[in-house]
Amino acid sequence: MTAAALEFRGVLKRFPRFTLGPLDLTAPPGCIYGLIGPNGAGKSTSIDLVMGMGALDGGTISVFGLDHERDEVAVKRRIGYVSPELDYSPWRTVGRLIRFLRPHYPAWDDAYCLSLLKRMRLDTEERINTLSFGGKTKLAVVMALAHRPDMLLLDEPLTGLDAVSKSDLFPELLEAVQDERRTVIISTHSLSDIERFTDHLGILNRGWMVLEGQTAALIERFRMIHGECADSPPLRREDGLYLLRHEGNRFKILADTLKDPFARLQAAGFTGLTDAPVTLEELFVALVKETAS
Amino acid sequence: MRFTPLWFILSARGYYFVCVFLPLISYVLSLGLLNSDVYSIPFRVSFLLLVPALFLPVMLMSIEWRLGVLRTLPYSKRNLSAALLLALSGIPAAVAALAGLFSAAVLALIVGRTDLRTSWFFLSAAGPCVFLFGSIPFSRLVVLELLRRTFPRTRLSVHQILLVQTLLAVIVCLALLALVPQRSIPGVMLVAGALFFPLLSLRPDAYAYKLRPMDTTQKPDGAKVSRLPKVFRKPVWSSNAMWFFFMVTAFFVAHSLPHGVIRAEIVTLVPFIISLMLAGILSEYAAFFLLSPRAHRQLPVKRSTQAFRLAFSLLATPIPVIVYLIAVTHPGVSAFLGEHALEMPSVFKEIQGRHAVPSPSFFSLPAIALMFMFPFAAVRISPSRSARALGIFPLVFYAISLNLPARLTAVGIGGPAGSSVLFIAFLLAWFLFWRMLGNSLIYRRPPWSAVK
Repeated sequence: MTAAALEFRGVLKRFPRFTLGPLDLTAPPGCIYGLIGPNGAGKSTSIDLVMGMGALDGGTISVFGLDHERDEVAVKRRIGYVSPELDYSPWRTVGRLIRFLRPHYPAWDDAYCLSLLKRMRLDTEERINTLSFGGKTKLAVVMALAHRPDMLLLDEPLTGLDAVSKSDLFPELLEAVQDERRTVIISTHSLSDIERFTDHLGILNRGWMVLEGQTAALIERFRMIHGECADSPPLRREDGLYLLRHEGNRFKILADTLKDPFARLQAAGFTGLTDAPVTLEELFVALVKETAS
Repeated sequence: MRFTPLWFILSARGYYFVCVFLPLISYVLSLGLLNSDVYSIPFRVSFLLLVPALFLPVMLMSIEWRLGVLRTLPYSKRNLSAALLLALSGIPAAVAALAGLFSAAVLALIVGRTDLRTSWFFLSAAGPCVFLFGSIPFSRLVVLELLRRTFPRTRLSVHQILLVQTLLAVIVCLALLALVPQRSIPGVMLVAGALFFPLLSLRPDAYAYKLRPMDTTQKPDGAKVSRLPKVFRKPVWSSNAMWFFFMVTAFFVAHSLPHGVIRAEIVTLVPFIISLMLAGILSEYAAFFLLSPRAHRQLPVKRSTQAFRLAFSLLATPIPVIVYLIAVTHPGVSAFLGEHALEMPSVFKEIQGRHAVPSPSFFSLPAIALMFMFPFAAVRISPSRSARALGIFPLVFYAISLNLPARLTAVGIGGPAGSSVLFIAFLLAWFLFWRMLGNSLIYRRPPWSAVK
């Protein structure tokens, strides 16, 4: 049995005002896993933990079957990491940064690195602290890709980028993720981007994994149901029913089709039930709002 | 902007030059003045205060590389607990300082370089010194809290904080000068420590957490991001440079006092400096381990390994001071300076006239041991090659002052064979150093290169 590319089992991390987990997450090898959630949901913390930035208070993280603490070096060699908080400016120039990073990675590909730099319109003599925000993100992406990692950990790679920068970055990212052996874990707020190219999703809220699974299956699994009911019957999350809006006797409900929502709603006295597919954004907003309440 | 050497020296990585060599040069030049009977005591004291004051603006230009640490902290650390972590990093330093001071006092006694009285005084200074060094990180918090409460609505700049702290330091210093009964090195150390204790405490990175609100910006997605206020992203004191500053000044104060210098105490100072190094190393280790920046922590190198390498590199920091001690107490150096029309400071002539020349091995052995550690220094200074190149100066200074070839042939340590070994070791150290300049042998060395 092939080990999962990334696996969280009961991961727990406590902060004074926030607790992540216990969190379970499974990203199969070769998948493009989108980790989405509102601000403060724990996306960046989860990614930080994979990179050893913070000790676990419980649980385990394994990357390709390797323990992320015990096999820290081996794990990090297989990961390309991008974060808006990654500051390469102490190395002053792009060239120096490359010379510094290169020996750390056995699989570093100089030719590929140079071609990426060219495509991103970066120069080895360029000073890092004079690069724009987008330029720094591009540089981080190049550095993450140049050692041809088995896994890309992208923490908000597109946040703060303008349309031009995104158009520069997107083809490279798409090319990177098209490599079927490469697993990509991407956290972002941009749901439209996520929907376009992820095949697995994890929705985090307040440190909890609200929903996880294959993107298409998740979207198909949920339906938006409109109906009428004279009373205000209790709708329980355990029954796969999430109340979104209630005006008079009209209800708008997000329903998990795995739990036979129509039968449950009819039994509760709902009439005139109609359903419609949901978009990822609707699903995300509904789940986050519901779990927040 | 073109990257010129001058710009470089004045920039962050120039602190090695600015904070180490200028005080040393200034010290040498000022010794003659201070030891002259022509000048009154108030003049000497004024000069004493003026010299460090002259360096303050220059020191402000030094930017600690580790400032990047605070800008790139993981989310989990970007809060007040970072300040606490900084404070905790002082504990190993205090322990090391205690051990170092104790061994310094005992060692000097054992090797017969000092008498029981001096040793006792030195040991008696251990408590206050440990307090000073060990409590530096804690005192940072105390000082910043005091400032915050004193000026609750004021947005103080680094320079204003510095001014307040300097004034405090002067008051404490003057008080201690009046109170310290023994004008010996332990007492002087205490005074100097008191003088620079508030300066050592100046860590705008720590202040940034409390004294000023964080600059909050909003990302396009609406998320709010807090960053250090701009003023703290610019000039920052280098804690390592401050260690130096402290040591040089302690020495400076010791020589300027009327009773002159007891050579035995200078000898005792060497292990003391080594103990400071140890303290600095441990402190550095703790600080890096607790607050290592994201760009480093993502690397496929264990964090403990990185911290160890960076901390160990600190060993090189006091090399010039040790070299200076060797230089000023060795007759060969005196002759060398005389040949080149460079007058030896009168105080050292006096020392050499009054006391027997110390065994070269006593001085040279720790210095040679340190030399082997020198390649680590370049790592500590900067990841940039040109910055690391600056590290060559201490080594050159070391080689000149030690007058190594002459010493090896004339005196030798363990006869001709020992001299040969040392000479080869010296060449090897040079080779390692140059090799690292090209390829960063220590830090960047990939662990798999041995099997590749």
